[in-house]
Amino acid sequence: MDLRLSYGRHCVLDGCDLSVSRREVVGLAGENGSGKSTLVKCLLGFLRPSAGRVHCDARVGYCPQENYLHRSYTVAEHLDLVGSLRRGGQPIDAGFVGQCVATLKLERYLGYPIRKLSGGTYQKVKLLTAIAHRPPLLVLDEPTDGFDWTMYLVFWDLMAELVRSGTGVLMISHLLHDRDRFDRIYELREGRLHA
Amino acid sequence: MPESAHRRTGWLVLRLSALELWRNPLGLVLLAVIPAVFIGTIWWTASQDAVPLKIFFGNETLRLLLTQRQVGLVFVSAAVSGFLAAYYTLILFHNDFGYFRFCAFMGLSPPLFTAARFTAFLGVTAVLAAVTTLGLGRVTALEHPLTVFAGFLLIIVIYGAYGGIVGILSRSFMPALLWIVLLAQLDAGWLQNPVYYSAAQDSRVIHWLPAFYPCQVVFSAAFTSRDNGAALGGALVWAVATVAVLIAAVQWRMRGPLNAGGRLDWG
Repeated sequence: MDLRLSYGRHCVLDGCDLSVSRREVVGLAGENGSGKSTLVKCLLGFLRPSAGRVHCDARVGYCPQENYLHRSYTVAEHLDLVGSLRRGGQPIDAGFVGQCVATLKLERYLGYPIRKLSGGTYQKVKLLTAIAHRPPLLVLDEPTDGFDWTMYLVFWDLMAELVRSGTGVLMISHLLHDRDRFDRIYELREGRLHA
Repeated sequence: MPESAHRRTGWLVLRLSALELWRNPLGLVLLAVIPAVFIGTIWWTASQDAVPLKIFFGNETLRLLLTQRQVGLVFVSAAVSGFLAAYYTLILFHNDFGYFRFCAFMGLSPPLFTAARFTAFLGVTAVLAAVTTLGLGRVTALEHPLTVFAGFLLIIVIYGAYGGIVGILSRSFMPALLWIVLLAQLDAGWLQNPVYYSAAQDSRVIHWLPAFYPCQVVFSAAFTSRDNGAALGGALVWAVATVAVLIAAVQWRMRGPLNAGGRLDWG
């Protein structure tokens, strides 16, 4: 609430109010460089806001825009490590992850080093990492970058299934032609959110 | 997080860290080639003329007369161990740090991450220290090879922690590498040279540098039959202090997302 962030004299966030509830898909749009990713990083604690208040009462799954995966690990090694972690005490649901691996057509890439993955496949691994622990809140930063049309549709089917099971989704997206898929859309302009 | 889950995560980070080093061909080549090149060069160029040396034993200083080749071989092995250790931990704690910061967001404990990464590093570099000690033992007489090995390990821990600290705190690789070269070159590679140290006009500054005590452990174990408790104690203090700073640096760099581990409420 009333989130503010400045870099020196440059004001990036000028009092942003945003909420996401369970079972809804909220879009966050805005021009390149408008501060969408910065806002999300403040919400998740990766950046500390200059002022304002963030309250999150749920485990969060996050798919950042950056290519952060470890280049020398294979997909299976990465999933093994992520699977061993307990987000807020919650163990991974191996059956669900196996199902997602099949849905996202990742089986044949499990033994691949991450540095050799194509852009779309890399994006699938990031998405799978975000949803692996079935978090009640998902924050996805341009999650469909690099997806082909078929995978784009698979992605939305997967989101629909997660939302039906109670997940809330906050998604940064430029694809406003897909606005029917969102329950609400915020637009970030000059540091302020407009519903 | 249950104890068994901690153990599994710790083991995975340890195994993956060892695999990272194994998958870094340049690092492996450096690990084998650099000690061989340096030791070979000393063997080829150093004379058998005697040089006077001073070795630190706390309140007492022991004076010795040794050949330039003996001194050079042991000193260069210590200096190379320090540089390689710092280079390796720089890779382990700098490259892909964003990935582990994200893993912290996913629930990875920073102390567990540090312990597993540092243990993997120690495993690899202990082999380096053992091979260096064995190699040295083949070309020059060592009074206490096991203590020489312990001295190399202490240099590796201290400079390894230094490399990790620089790697964690630097945003880009090249400045980090330059910081490592700067201190490793100045300290382990130059001022701790026993010939230089023995003739130094003022050796107090040299005493305060991180490689001083472990180098004195190595020199006294290599060239004398006496125990050097003062140097060993000083080296242990440096090792504990640098590892503690490394743990604190990791905790500090991973601090933000930790708050988002389940519930986040700030403002």
